[in-house]
Amino acid sequence: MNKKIWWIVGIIVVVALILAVSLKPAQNSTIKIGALYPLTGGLVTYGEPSQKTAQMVVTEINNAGGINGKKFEIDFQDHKCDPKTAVAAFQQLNSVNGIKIFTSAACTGTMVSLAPMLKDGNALFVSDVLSGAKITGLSPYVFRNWGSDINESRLFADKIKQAGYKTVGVVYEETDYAKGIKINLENFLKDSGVTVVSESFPTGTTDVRTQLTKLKSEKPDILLISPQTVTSAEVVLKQMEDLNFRPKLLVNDNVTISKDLVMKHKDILEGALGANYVAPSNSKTDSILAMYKNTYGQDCPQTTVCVETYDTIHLIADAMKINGNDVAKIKAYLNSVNYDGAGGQISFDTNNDRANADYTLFLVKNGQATAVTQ
Amino acid sequence: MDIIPQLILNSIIAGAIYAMIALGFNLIYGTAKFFDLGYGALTAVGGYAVFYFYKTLGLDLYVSILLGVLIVGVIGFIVYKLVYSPLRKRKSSGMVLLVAALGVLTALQAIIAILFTSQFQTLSQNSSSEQVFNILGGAITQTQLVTLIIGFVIMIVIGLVFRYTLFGKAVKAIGDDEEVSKIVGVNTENIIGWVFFIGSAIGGLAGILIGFDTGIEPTMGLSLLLKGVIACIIGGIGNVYGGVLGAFLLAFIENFGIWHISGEWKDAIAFAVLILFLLFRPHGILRK
Repeated sequence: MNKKIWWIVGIIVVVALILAVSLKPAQNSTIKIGALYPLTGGLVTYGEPSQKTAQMVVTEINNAGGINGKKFEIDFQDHKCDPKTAVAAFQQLNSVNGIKIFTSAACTGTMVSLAPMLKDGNALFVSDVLSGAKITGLSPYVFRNWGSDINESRLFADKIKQAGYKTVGVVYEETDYAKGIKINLENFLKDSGVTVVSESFPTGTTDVRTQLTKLKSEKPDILLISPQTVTSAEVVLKQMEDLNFRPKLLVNDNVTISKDLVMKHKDILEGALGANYVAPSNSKTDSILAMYKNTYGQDCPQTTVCVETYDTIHLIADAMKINGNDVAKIKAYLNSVNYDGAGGQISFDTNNDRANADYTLFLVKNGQATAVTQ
Repeated sequence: MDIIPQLILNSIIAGAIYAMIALGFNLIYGTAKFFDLGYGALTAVGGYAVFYFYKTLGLDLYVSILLGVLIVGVIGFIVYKLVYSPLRKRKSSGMVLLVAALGVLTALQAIIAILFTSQFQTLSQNSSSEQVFNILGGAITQTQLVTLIIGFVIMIVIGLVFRYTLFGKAVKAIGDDEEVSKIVGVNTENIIGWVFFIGSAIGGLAGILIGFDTGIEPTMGLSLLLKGVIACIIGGIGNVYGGVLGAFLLAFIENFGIWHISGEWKDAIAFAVLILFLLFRPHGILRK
């Protein structure tokens, strides 16, 4: 009996060793990076164009001979804007598949959860569509090719002060990103004589009526809606309509980013101000958007997302062309880079945030959010 | 502005939704005596069935709702026959049934996400066109009013069925003692199958109404189920009227609880109430 058990244990060990050797990441023939995008859930609005653009860049790079003659690949994973899912996907790609260089789009909370896992320099992220103020200085191994929404709060605070509003209501989702906008707004309005009254709601809730009822009773001069996802924005706007609560509105970029949402709630959003990070329009960005349309037969639904993702993937590819898969060398390269991207010159400040990434104000009119010149 | 009328209406609106969930859950729990987590996913199945018939195929609204309710009932029945019934026949423990129900919940959610994506969807055609009624300074929409009325109608119908029909008496008998019911000739397997059909259909209808009020997503069921279960425990688990009473009590406590404190405490308040009841009145307000 004992002999039989030893035989079985022996066979299992041998099979496990063979599997371990055979599952070792493929070397040499390809250069692979990981991409953690919200491919399902409330921020698929960002994830889908990010993935499509990234895949388009992969094809472009491989058609031009790859990276140093090697085939370039991206392993896409869905983080669902959920920190647990993001961490699990990262561990799979990093620890099991041996991928060291990553890109990602949204969400602040997922990156906050991932950052502690990068502290030994075992991996590095160059991310876009990542605006939360908490990302600033989060990790030496997280680079952000996007504007910080501290600029969004600053723009909102300026507008509030200019208009002479005395009471500002805020309804926000309890996430790092959505709450961050509210906290920064409070900071910018400190000592300005403006009172901020706020109410929060947890992610996943479908009932914010009482929070809205309380805010309505405060009669705010203007209300900031700060949801984490388009889904939450939908719930808040629908229930504001139900309650006939129609104050002047400020909305965060997760509201103005969704054309369908803005059109659907055009009455309540009429005249609302939003702010977002916007890539410039030029011949390079036009050709990226044309390439997207040629590849997928449809317009890029989020032009800034497509442009910045295009630049991010090319930036990563360039970094790997010079530095291979070496995290420390790529980090040093990014710290001093001045990349001529389609969306402008890309360089990173001492906190690894993209330098000179200002926000643009948007005005909702007739169901469309359009940029306004200040 | 006096916010009390609106807070009362907010509580009634939330209570109506919890009551719908509690009615179906209580019916199943009261008869089959196990914690059917899969019931949560059936609310989403109802919502997505109507989404498919009404918004994708463009069928008539009422036909879509009827089809949605029937489909959920049938799925509930099939799940019982394929999963729960064999386990019950094997005299599996409550833990085994709970794990099986968790599997059903997860599988149904995953299937919905595969078929319809995880994207949040609304069933209403135009959010701002819905009729809003003003009552004493508070506002309630047509859908919310319909949810409230349907909840009460279902409660009364179930109450009458339990009291005056042979089927209702058989359901009550099984709930009291399944073995004795078998001995006296009740076809328990058949009756429990029907209970799953009816209970699931009620859950599906709740999901449909929520879809018209706010919207649907594959994972909507679990949080709704938790509130429905808390309502059942507060009101009296297995008691049809108790579930509804608990639903409204829970909704009032939640909404008035955050009157003077931040809204983020809402769920904490709900679960604190649950713990208090479990500690000091585990059978709930109304006994079965």
